[in-house]
Amino acid sequence: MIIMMLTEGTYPYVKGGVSTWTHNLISSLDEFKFVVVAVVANPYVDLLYEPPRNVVRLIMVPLWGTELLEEYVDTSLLRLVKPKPSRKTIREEFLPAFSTFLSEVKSGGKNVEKLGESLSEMHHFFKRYNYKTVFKSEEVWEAFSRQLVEDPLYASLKTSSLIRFGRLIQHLFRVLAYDFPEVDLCHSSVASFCGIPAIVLKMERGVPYLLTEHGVYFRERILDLVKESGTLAERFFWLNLYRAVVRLNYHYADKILPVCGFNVRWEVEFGIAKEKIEIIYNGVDVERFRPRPELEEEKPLIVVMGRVNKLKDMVNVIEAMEYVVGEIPDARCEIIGPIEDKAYHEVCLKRLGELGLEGKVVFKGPSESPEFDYNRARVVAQPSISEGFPFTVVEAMACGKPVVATDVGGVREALEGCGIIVPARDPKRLGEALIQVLIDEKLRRELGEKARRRVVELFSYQRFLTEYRRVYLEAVSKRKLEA
Amino acid sequence: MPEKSWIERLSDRGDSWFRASKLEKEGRFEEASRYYVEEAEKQKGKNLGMAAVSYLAAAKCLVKAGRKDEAVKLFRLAASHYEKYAEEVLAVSPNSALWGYQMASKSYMWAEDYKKADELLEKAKSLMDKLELKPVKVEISGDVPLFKTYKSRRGKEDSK
Repeated sequence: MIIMMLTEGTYPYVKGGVSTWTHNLISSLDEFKFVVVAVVANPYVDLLYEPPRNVVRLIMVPLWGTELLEEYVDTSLLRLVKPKPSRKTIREEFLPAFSTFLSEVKSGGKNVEKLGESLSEMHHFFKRYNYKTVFKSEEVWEAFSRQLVEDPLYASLKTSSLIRFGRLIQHLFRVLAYDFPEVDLCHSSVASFCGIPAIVLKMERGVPYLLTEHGVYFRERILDLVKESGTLAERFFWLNLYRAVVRLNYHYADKILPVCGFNVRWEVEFGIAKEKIEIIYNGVDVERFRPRPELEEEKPLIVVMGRVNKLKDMVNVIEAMEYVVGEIPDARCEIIGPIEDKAYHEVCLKRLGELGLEGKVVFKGPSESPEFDYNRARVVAQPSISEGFPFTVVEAMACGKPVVATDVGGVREALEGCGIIVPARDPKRLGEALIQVLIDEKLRRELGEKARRRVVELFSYQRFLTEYRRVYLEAVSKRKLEA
Repeated sequence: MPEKSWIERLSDRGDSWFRASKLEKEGRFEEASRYYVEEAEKQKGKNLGMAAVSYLAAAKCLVKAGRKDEAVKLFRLAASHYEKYAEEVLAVSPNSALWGYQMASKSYMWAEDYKKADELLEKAKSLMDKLELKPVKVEISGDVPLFKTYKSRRGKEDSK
């Protein structure tokens, strides 16, 4: 049985929670074979996870950084010589679908089936013709600019913005130029552009599509847009583009598998029937992540495990440490994880300097043995502004550590009385909660013991695998019966 | 020796499921059924769910080939494997067990063993009550069931 696993900006080229989830799932379900389609920003990335033996093919889809897209499309030499279509062919065979696509994107995918059909038609066209030539053609540019300029909502867009959007559309939908292999099932780890092959396969060949949602993709894009500069028209454009892509994924997925109940609210808001949604919590290896009290450091140590980027809001914990150190002068904080956003890391270092916390907060980089790092801590903190069902929180709980975390995503569901929840972006409350746990040994012990019990009962790796194995078999059984 | 390409690795004789799917798409249902059975035999010692799906696919192919009587035997094998699968996963994932019982019930029904089908459906309902889930409609592909409409002996319509 072959499953196409679709990833974006994660496995196997980027370290992080979603990548670990993907790697563990694939390697543990070795009775299935996997084709991994990895959408990445550019092709100059290293494999950070060695694909297990049951990965029969890894297809990289670089959005930028390659002039000759075809070299990634297929190994067949014939694929390298996709013909350039004539202007007439573009006008007659491509523009109708492209215009429908644009019109739906502009409206946030109101008629999601029309949008799906237009993508399928565009995919068919790109199977025959050179992708780049089509997007560089005068016909496509004219259709694109006219569609936007004639719409009152976007009429104020400057030509420079139009050019930028046109170019971005060309890159973001590159996955349409690929020929997708025959598989039994598609599984995407995010409701984003990487889900497009699954949508096309579902429409064309009836291949079942499962969608796991870690963080809520649409919510995270809104958070990004809040921080971006740009005119109202530009923001509307992006918002509607993301909304359209998310709607498409939700609509065509046979089953949506959020990692926590928090995500369900967003999915239902998009009009998805609850019956189509099933929560499958992330599971951790409770043997590897177990309490090791002998490792706890003598001086109070706070451990934060996570990639350094804006969504993880490390500035929050840095500012919280000002309060902690004020009360407990020998307390320290270690931030363990790769630096994903260098500019943001600079912001963190600057803030650290401003608060005079050098030496009190340390960026340690990624760790090969997080189970030991959690155990060195007296308390584990999670300061993010967005999360799915964070592994870091569940792993810390499995190690019997008290956790102080922001109230985002599935954190509340994970902790539920086994840790302390504080509002996001509130360093004072985060600092106060950390102090409370650091000075109260009884509270620490109680929270830690309860947390460990909860993980063993509900978030075990065995349960996680059994449920994924079943949803795979369920989808394939259904297809076989319907064939 | 050069390493095999991904498609060669899948097409080689070792991957019965891949071969069966390919044959099924080509409309060669009897051959496809044989390979699905081969896959089920390989899986039954280690992965009951996979074995059950393979038997089911094999049975469905025989139905398509017009050999309904022989398909009954395979539906029965599918049913017993779904049932065993449900028992195996019950303690770890009750949701998965529920699906297993439902599939077992459907498969027994297609195997014309209505008593067993009824029994498994009751197990599924009882588990559903424990899990506080809403009753799941038992669906059969297409407008009509594969063989004949099944009615529970308790007079309730369990399928359409």
